[in-house]
Amino acid sequence: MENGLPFKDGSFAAIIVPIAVVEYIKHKLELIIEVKRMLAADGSAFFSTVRGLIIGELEIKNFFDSLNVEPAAIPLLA
Amino acid sequence: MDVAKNGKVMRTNPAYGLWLRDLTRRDGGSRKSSFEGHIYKNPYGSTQKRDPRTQRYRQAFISYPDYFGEGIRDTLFRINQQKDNRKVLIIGVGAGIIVKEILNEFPNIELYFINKEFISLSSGCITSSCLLRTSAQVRLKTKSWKNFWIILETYLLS
Repeated sequence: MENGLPFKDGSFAAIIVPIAVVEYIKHKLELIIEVKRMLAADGSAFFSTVRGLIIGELEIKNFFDSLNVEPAAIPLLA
Repeated sequence: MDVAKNGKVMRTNPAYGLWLRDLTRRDGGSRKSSFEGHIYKNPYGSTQKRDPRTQRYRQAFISYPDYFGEGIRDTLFRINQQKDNRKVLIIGVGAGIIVKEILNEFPNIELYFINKEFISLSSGCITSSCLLRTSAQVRLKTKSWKNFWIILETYLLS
């Protein structure tokens, strides 16, 4: 992840991080930034988790606000 | 709360119902089936190993619809019908059967797969060599699939 994942910017129509995967990744912030970079302008990214928070101590809503994207699953955190 | 059953009026235990709603199901007992056919004498003292409801959740994922949600499946269906940019990246699917089912149902999708352990390598975190070996086995079994790429070993060796 130091050099990023080996894909071009905006190359994917969808990026899926299934359930029980995000929890095992240490650098979650870098992963989500990479996902945003590789995702096409009209693409979709899915982060599935069994917990309300996918990036540890950082609240997901504040995180997506910092990236200026609209998460679709925020109501699940209520 | 009193309910009529078989011509008799029976009194339910509110605390007992609360236990069912809070502790036995992930959805909080909202489904009607939560209250059907299972009675516990001592909910906090008896074992639940033989409870068919909890056994249901201990079952392994048997197909990708159980693993992905409806939103992901709808998106895959839409991408499968697109004329361009049908690339989909899946991060961390360790079960080859899931990838196989996706390719069978959405043959037009150009599927990329990357292992979650590969993402964590730069941090010095290889969680399990067994997991990496499992991924290699998946690659060997599926190397003939069209539009299927596993880049894990390539970048491990480079």
